[in-house]
Amino acid sequence: MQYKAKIVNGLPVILAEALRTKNKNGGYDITIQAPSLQLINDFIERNKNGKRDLQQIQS
Amino acid sequence: MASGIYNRFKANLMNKVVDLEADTINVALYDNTHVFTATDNTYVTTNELATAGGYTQGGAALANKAVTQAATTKFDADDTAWTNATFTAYHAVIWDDTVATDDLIANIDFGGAQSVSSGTFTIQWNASGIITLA
Repeated sequence: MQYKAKIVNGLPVILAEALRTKNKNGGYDITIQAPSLQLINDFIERNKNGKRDLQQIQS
Repeated sequence: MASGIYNRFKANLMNKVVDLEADTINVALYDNTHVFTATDNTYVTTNELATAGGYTQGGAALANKAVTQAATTKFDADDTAWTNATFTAYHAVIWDDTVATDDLIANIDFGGAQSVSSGTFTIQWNASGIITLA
């Protein structure tokens, strides 16, 4: 799974994704698929223009 | 709106304050007014979901925690689930319940309202690990 990411205030933002299914109780269950958090953020690289590129994080 | 690791956790690693395998590590759920701020230090109940609908403030403890040493060392645990649940959450905050000051570890942004109704709310931790250090 690939997680959606974007830059907010110069910082990477990684969002969890969710799956929701109906259950036999007439309600619904939900499963949040959490991203793996990197203690050292290495997924921002400066490009040749001196700006930052954002790479997708792949689980 | 963001997921990330709190600065306090980085310092606690270096100061040998946190033991991710031995400590009680909790996952708490928060509402839409919660904002991830990396400089926050300690767990608080402000903006946490109330104790109701299958959720208890403080959150759930991570089970079967494990640190796996490798070039990319990872911290992982069993998926976390709340059963018989009816609530809406926007964020999960991982915090250390063994450290006296209840220090923060990480924040997961769900990307919006995530609701469960008379069912099971599960956080499926990433196969690569909850946190990695490379």
